[in-house]
Amino acid sequence: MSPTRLAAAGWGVGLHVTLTALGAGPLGIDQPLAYLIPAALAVLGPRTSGRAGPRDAIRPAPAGPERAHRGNRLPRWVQLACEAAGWYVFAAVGEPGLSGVGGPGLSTWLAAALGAVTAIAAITVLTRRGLSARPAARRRRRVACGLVVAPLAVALAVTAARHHHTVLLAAWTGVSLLMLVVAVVTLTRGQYGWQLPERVHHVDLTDIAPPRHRVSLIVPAREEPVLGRTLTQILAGDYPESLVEIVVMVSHDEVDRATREIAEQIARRHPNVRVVAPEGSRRSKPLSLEDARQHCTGDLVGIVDAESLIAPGLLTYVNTLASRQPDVGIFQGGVQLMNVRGPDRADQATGRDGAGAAGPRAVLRRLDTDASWWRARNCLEYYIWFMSRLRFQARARFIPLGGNTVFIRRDVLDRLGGWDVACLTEDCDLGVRASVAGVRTIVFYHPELTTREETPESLTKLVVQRTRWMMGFLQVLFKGDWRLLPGARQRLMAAEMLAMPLFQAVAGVLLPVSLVLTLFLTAPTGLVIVFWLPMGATVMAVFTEQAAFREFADAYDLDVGRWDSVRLVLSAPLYQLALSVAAVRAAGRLLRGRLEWEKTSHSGAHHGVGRVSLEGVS
Amino acid sequence: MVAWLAAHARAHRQSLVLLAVLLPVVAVIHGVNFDGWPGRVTDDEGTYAAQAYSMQYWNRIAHYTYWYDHPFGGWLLIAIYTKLTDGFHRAPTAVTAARELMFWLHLVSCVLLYRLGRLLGLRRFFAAFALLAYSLSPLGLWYQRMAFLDNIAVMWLLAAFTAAASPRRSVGAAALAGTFMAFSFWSKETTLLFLPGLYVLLRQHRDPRNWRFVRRNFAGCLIGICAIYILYAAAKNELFEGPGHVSLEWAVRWQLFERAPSGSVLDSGSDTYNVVRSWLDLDPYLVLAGIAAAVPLLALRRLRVVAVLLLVQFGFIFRDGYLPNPYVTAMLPFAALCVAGLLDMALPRRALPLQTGRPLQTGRPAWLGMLWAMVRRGVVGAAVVGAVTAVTLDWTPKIHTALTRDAGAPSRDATRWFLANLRDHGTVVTDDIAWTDLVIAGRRPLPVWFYKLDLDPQVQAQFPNGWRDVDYLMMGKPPDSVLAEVPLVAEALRHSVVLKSFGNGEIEIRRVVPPGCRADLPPERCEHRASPRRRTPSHT
Repeated sequence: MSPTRLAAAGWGVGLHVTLTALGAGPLGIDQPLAYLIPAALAVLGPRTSGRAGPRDAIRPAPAGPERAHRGNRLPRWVQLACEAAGWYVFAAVGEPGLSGVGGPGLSTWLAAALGAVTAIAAITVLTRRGLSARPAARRRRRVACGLVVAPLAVALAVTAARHHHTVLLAAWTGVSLLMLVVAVVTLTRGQYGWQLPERVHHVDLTDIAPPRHRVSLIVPAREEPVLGRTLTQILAGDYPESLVEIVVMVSHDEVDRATREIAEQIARRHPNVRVVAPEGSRRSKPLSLEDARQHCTGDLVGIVDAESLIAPGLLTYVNTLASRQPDVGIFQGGVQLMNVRGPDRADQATGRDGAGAAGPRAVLRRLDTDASWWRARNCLEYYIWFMSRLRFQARARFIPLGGNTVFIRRDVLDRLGGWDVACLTEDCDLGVRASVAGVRTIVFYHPELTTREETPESLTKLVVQRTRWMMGFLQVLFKGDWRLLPGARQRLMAAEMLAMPLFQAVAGVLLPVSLVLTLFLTAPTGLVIVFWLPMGATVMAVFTEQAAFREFADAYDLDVGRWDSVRLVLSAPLYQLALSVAAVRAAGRLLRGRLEWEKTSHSGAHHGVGRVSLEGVS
Repeated sequence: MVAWLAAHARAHRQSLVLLAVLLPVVAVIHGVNFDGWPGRVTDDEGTYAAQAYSMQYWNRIAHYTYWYDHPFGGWLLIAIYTKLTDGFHRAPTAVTAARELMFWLHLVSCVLLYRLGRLLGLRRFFAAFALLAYSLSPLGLWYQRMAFLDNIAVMWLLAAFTAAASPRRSVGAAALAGTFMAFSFWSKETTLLFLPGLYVLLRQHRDPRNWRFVRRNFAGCLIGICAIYILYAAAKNELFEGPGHVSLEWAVRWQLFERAPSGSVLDSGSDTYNVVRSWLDLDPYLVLAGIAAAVPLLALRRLRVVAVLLLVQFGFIFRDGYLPNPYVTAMLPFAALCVAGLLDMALPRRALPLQTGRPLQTGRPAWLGMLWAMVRRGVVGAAVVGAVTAVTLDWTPKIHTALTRDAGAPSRDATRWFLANLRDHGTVVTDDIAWTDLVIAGRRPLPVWFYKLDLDPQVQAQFPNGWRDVDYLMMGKPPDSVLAEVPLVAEALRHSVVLKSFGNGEIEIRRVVPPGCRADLPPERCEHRASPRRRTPSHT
């Protein structure tokens, strides 16, 4: 047994005993419960201090120096069983009746020490022996652990049932405080872009560096009738055509024939446009990007979605940034949804078959497709995300990148190993890995540089899109690359951010529950106030969003009135509900293991929104 | 963080040095004999100390039913301080513990006032001048030493103004300004009077690029935190009036409309007149000079808000409503800023004519400009010298009194005598100053605050035989107007004999002698005790 292991074991015992004594003494916790606190911390707490490794990297048993800092890697189930065994010893030796008022008695100290020694010894022995990885052994181990833990669980359940009121109050206070913290953090980060006046206008369009960088633009397309417009728009930009290379990724199959023909037609006229149509039955965006990467030759690799309109001056500005800031590896531009109001009634009447049909199904479809109350909120979400939140993340050195209008130096991209083809949100994943590698990112947002897109066609499509994002974020979370981030603060931020979609959605349900609970629980007045605080923070967030909405309208010269503002406020709870639905779907799909590609389709509603003319659009 | 602090310290080097010199002076003058002068002249100090005590030890908002007289943030702060420093058991009296906090708050207020002066464009000399005027005025010394909610509220108010005038113009500063304003409201609700001024100041210092966010965060923090007060009342089902409970609605109505006015300041027999008179006796210079200075300052944009707020407060005195005694507390910082601001405005800036070439632009000959500047310098110099001389003559003896006279002794001695000599289990009715000290000393049954004997039905229920259940009285003689409100206490007073008197009757310990009892018998042996004894309160 090595001295480090011995020291670690000693630490464990010491912590157990100290925390138990602290809980049973000054904090006045019941003695059997007091020991559970350090035990629970030991099981749930992070296993390593400092830089951990991604979980996947551990499976094949890494050799060499990496093993040293990984600490205890027993499965948590096994660890829980060991701690439970420790608790049995503690409960058997200690006599709860004897713990005096003045502090923990000698028996408590002794019992805690014995229990801790038992637990740590079991853990140490099991760690040294190593556990078999065979599925049968694993199953057997689970059952054994379950049997060991069961009495503790029963004892806990009985205690909790006896004090169910206190337990409920304490739990809900914890939930409320957590929600409050998350709400306040989201609120402040959402206003990062406006925190200081000089931070608002951060793009200087008059500063133009001579064209130097060769830009490869990847345009992944699948069933995109608007592809032609997009490509024309790119080619009409003011950056010299000789320095632009466009790689259009289309599918080889029959479904995509029309799109492929559009692309090939343009490629014939422009030598710098390449159409790549790799074969393969299942296509996805990350796969396309990864295929396209091999064909890129420029210093900067950019991604432009097939349905988006990029700004004419975008490449010039990116070139300027890349020239002025050689230490920055990734340049993230703004993407903006533009249709605040949804399609006009007149347009809809012509374009839909069976619109006049009555019946519940038609009404449902009408509610789904025609309703546009959520569009302004969706647009605003993008505005705040790119104008403020991502800029904060870039400064905090942890950023989940966007999947559009992002430019990466090719050497950086190659060093990072390109995109993860198995990931649903490959953009987020790339951002996480770039943050781990310490690549600096710059985020810029200017109305004249943003890439314009449209909101999803219908509410259902929005929910589908969000489901995919949430699943992707959770995928990245479970993949665990973020655990390699250098700072504890960054890791915390990463965990919070990747779990955020899920949390946010759950919060949407919890908030009203919290308010209703105050009516039924006879809680002390102080706790009632605590239960209400997250709601207060949420109302505050909706209130300040109005400022962002006005800024947004001013920036794009949109004609929004008081009714739009009111609708934005009223739509907040409903939108939250939609996100909750998406979260439930995401969680359900992840549990069922269905990671299929759900694609959002587009119709081109954003073309011609606002009074800003978009020159070069055919 | 350290680097940021260091950079800030470097940027404000001269101010820091100045404050390092001034603060010790201020601390000595406010700190020496802070318990002795002023004496225990008002029951309010004791009330806040008692409420802080009940918060700390009984987990209750007040020692009797909380009836929304003021939001409880003020004594919450006192309770936090006493909890952290074990104040009630360390300090000689409960009020002393509360006064300690006032001392620290005053130092913070001084720094904030200096900073606010600097942010409003005052030169360092004049900002320091404002600080000294604010701190050394006997009026300030008198009120800022006492444990009043106004002192707490004014500190938060100054913090709010400082944040609102922040040169960074950040959203965070605005949120802080709103938060501090809300804290000020939580300490004493009357400071909402300053809210319009605060908003105008914020607006004056706005930047169009993030003004929308600044505005909303300010309002959001302010309303959100203030609304917790309403939420508190609602959670206790005390928002609206109803049978059998106090309510916020009633308290607000009472404070705003139904409270008996204290008369007109112009009527020499009214309470208002006497209060204002007592202020002027303490120090006529600072407030009056401030008001005089505020009028010309209305023309100067950067100090207009301060001037207007001072004049509005001045105007409120003539409103013929209820004028609380410490009302003047909130006027002092603004008066000091106005005086210093006017002097700062009058004294020409040395570099100005050279930098802007103003004499050339206006077409005046250069010598005229120089002459004008010299006149202004002379006037300011004369004013400063004159002020310092006059003020020295007037203030020095008063400050000397403040540093040496122990006017709190009678109250302290009375408590000590009571605890040493009356060890029976008789019921004692006291003022709030002695109340907490007796409770801390372990007096049982719990003493009763004399107001509550008549005004709180819950307390009255414990005295089935009315004043006959009272054994001892320990208080100064209340004025007749107060006695008219509390008939039981008045009756008990009438049937009592003085056991011991302190400070020429400033506070007296009396034994109530009902018919059939003698002063030399312990209360337990009196005849009327055959009837059921007073029930002891539940929280003993």
